[in-house]
Amino acid sequence: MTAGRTYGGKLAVGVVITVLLTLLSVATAVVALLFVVSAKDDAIVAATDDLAGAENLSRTMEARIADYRAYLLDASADNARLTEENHQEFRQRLDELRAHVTDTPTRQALDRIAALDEQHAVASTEVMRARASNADIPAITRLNENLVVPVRKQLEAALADVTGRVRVTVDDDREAASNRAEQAIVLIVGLGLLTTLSAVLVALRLNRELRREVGTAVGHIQSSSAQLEAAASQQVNGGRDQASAMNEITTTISELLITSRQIADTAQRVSKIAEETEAAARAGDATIDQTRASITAIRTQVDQIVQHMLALGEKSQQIGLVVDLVSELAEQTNILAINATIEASGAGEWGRRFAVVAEEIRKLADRTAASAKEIRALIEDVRGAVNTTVMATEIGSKAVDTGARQFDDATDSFRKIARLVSTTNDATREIELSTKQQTTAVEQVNVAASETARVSRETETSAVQTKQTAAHLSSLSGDLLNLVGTGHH
Amino acid sequence: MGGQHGDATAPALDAGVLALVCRAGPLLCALPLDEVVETMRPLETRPLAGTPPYVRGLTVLRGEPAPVLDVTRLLTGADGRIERYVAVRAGRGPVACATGPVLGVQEIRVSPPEGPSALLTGVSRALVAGVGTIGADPLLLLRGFRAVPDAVWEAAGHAPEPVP
Repeated sequence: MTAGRTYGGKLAVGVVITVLLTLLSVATAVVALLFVVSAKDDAIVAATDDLAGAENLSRTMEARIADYRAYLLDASADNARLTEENHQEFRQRLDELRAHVTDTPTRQALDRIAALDEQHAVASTEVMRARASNADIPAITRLNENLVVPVRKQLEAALADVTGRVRVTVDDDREAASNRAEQAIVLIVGLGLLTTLSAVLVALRLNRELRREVGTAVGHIQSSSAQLEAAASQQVNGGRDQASAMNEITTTISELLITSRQIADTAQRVSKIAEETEAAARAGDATIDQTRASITAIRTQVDQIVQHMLALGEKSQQIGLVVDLVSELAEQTNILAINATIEASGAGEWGRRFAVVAEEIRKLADRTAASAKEIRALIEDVRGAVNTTVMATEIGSKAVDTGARQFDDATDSFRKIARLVSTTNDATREIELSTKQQTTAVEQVNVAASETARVSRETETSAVQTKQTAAHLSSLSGDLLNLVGTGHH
Repeated sequence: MGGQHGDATAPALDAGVLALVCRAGPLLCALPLDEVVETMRPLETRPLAGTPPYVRGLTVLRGEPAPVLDVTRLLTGADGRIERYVAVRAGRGPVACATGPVLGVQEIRVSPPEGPSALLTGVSRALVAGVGTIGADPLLLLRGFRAVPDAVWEAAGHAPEPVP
């Protein structure tokens, strides 16, 4: 029933059982007491109402008889009225008693009293009527003795019987109430014993559970306390190491902070130098334009030189053609002169003279050819020089073009350098800004590291306290185990 | 050049010969002026198969076919620069001699080829009539161009020369 419940639940169940049994005992005691009270009330009611009613009925009967006797002595109207009133009161009390009485024999006795009262009333009424009409006391006494006294004696006997019956009933009720009271006492004592036994059982069970569960739990607490103490020791060492490491980190971060500030200063100087470089690069654009104009002028001059040289080459070629023509004429003249000499050789004396002339012509032709050859050589030299000059000029022109392209490349590179310097300037500014932000961040990290070091020291202190608390808890666990009686664990 | 012939000619046993002097490679050669017809620029020459190496081929001289002899190759066995054709009278007709530059007409003195020309053999021996010098250069006097093979003459359309 208590399996799987906590000790608090088990304790609650035990207390509930005990409380329920106690409430049951109290309720039973109350019910028994009510029964007893009811029985006693019944006995008292019987004793007060029925017995008193019976006694009052006898007393009223005696008062009625006294008033009747008084009327017999003095036949006055008051006595007659008193007699009638006592009779009515007797009837009324009789009716009330009949209403209270419950047992049949008493009721039958009361019915018999009522019947005898009727007979007694009739007899007494006749005697009183005789007394009213006759003053002879002795005769009245005799008549009374004959009519009324027997009935009165029967009535008194019946009243005594009823009184006795009522008394017996009262005694019975009292005895019955006493019996009920005894039964209630026995029941209450039994329930008390049962409640006590149950409480003892619950206490024993709870004690056993307490010893078992609390002992186990305290054992666990003790072992956990030992583990906690060991962990606290490790935490103390770790906190100490962490604190020293955080100190080193703080020192390193401080050095890093100094380095970051130096980097920020250097970045600022680099940014300033980059700005100056950018300004110088922009100032160099005008020089670049002038240099490009000069290169263009050189190119134009070189082109003109090439054109002039080509024209000179063409003129040389034309001169060469003329020289070729002269050379051709000289060669033809040479051949003709030789042939003339040959022809003249076979023409006798005149032929020899002509041969002399022809020989002179041949010599002139040879000299002309030699001169033409020299001119030709000179022209070739001039053409060679022109060609060399043209080639050199073209090489120069190409060199100028190459130089111009290289200058353009250099200009592009220069402008690219300027752009890169501008980009470098921007990047340097970003580096400067980032380094400042980094410096701020490093300062924050330094503060955080210092805070962490402080927390580490506090953690170390807390770990020491935890260790002490764990040791204390272990000691308390041992004490608690001794208290619950499982100290041998 | 013409002035050299007076004092530069070596002493000769024979009398002076009026000849056309021209260059044939490293040598100077002279053609007797009575055999020379004319000088001219090199003409178009058609090669002939089956002829000696010194026969350059056939050309046309004044409307007639004529064989062309390479005098430089004939005398030296090597090729030389051809600048002039010299037409000479041969037995069957004119022959064009391909030579270097023509130096002129002058009187030369040569010796019979018993001296140094005794070394010549074959066609050269039959062709060289005498040996002399002009200045420091040796001079060969060529005469009687009979060195042209008959097949060449036949190709040129000339009748065989009657055997003397």
